[in-house]
Amino acid sequence: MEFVVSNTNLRDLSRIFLNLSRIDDAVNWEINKDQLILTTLNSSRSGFGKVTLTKKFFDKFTFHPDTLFLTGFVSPTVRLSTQIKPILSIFRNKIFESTLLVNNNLNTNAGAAESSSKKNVVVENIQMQITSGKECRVIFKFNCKHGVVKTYKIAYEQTQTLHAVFDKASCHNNWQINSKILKDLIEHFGQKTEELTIQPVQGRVLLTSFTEEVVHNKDVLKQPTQTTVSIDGKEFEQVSLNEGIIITLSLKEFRAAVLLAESLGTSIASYYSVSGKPALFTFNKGKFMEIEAQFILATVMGPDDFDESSLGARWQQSGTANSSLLVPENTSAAPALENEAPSASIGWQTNGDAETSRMFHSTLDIPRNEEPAAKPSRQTTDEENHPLFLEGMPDETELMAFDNDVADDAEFGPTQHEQTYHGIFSQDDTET
Amino acid sequence: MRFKTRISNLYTLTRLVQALDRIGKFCWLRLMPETVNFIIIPDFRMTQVWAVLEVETIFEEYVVQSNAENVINLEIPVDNLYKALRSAANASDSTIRLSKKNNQPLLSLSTTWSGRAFGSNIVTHNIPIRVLSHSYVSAIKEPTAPEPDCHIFFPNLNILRQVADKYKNMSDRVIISANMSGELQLSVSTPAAKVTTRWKDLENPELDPSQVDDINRHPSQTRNPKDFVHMRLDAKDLVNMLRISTVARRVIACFCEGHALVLYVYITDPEDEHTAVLTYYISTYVD
Repeated sequence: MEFVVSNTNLRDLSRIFLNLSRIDDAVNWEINKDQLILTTLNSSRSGFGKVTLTKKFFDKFTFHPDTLFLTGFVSPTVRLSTQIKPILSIFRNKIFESTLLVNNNLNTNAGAAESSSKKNVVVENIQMQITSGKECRVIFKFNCKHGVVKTYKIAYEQTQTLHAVFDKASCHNNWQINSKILKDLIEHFGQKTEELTIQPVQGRVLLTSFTEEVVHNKDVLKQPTQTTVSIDGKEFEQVSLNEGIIITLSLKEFRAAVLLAESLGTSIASYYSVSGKPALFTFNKGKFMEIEAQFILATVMGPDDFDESSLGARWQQSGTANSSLLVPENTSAAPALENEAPSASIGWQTNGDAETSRMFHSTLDIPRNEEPAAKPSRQTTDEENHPLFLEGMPDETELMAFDNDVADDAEFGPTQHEQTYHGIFSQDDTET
Repeated sequence: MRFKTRISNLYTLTRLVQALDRIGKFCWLRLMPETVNFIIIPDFRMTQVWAVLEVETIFEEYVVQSNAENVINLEIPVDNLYKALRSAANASDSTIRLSKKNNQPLLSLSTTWSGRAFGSNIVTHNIPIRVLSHSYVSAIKEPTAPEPDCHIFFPNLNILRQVADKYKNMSDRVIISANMSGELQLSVSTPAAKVTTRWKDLENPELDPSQVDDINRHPSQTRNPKDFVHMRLDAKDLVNMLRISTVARRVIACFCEGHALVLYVYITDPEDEHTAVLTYYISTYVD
């Protein structure tokens, strides 16, 4: 079996591996006569990434596997798993543009910080082969400039692969935005941010950071900054959301999806229904959809069961003139979704096992300990927080003026409960 | 109690907070109608910073209201503020406000970004802070130093900083010396080597008669102009202090022999309408 990737697609391939590595350390390969599918699943089974590369992505795609290799009843498929770190290291410090484009792209290549140094090699194409028998290896042959060939052999094992189930047709909430805009905005979240909450508010989409560390008894000043990004609805190519639907998911995996979309230069679309059910982030690249990526992330279960029909207004807008996306409020969104990409229903497939089961069932059913405390308070304060999201200078009436000094201060007095102070106050203050 | 303002000079404020980040973790921010103070007195370290900035140097549309003569005292974590300010670079509009969520006082930094589709995106950072009472802060006093034996304008801080960085690797103590003839020296002395860097033709500032009682008897005037005042500083303190070089315009160093080195760092030019100055009190060692 052999696949050749030419330089125009090499950078994309290296970015695909890089971002899948943010999800897990191992990547699964599924190869059949039409495509190569790379998937990763994180250890807590709450994040799943899948990138499908069709035959057209490759300069050459030959699939003649050893019959012992084959699995699957539907179509002959080869399934393997490799570690991702060795793959990342072989792609590092390689320049994938053709010589004509080297000057423009040197600084954008992953890992090419010293772009002018001799360490970076200009690669013309990569040949991938899979050997079996005595040595189970995926062989990467980098054909570089000046006739240099770098060959890397990475061990694999045969595995079963697990896929996530996702029913796009039942997701009534979706949006689509240019991934660069989204990436620039999520860079504002601090390092310690663990989770992100996404919700529509007054024609805007709000992303709020959440960190477990916010514990009441700990030193107030050591708590991390809480960041909220409010994205104007106009920035989206398309929005169809029920007000009141709030989903919370892990930032790490969400970021991996956004970063990959941004490096491929595409828009990213999101589909989800209610909190607790998984959310899909998908994008594709190429005239023939040579690269198709899907990231399915578990969302944190809310304390209440949301009944969609009882929710607030439905916000829909489309950046294009395509009015067929607009759907009257109470009907199911299925007709709208049919106009979009073909509905995906990813099979839950293990080798030879045709039974489907829901992948995210376990993570969602386990109630999180912090949840009852954290979620309600975050939701109520989101309502109070509207002033934070308005443009320009805040309203005069938003903040209450107070009558007294701090201790008697109606708003800030009650905050003065701590007796321990910091540096300034560590000197002996006998007068206090 | 109310505070909100728009930031007019984000670059200066960011660099200022970046320099303060090196001095201590928590800063006392005193907001008054005309001026803003940043005060850092770190635990167990020797350098203190007392910065006084006229509001117009960094803010506009500034509003501060409280029942205590419109003064508000806050304790803020410097690194969180720095990171928030840094993320606001290149935004079209930044505002800071005092707000509250769940009984927790916050400093909210909101920046507006104009998006491609003429929409506007808003990023808000909510930094947990503490509001300090008047009775509490009244106990903190600015250090007093005796009249300096020597005062001199520092040369270009960037060069000083580079020299100090190298000295830091050689020794824990740096000796700084100056005289009233415009000469400055930075040196280290280790068993293996003695290194001295000398600057000359620097200016010694003139004393302002309105501020000083009897100029002729001031210690800096009565000493021999060629006599150096030597002081031993901790190398790390010196390097951390020199981080302000990114926004410093002029620095006057006052040597109080046997006590402290006091530096007045102006981040505005003399011809600017409004001034902003940071005072660094650096203790010296008598090893």
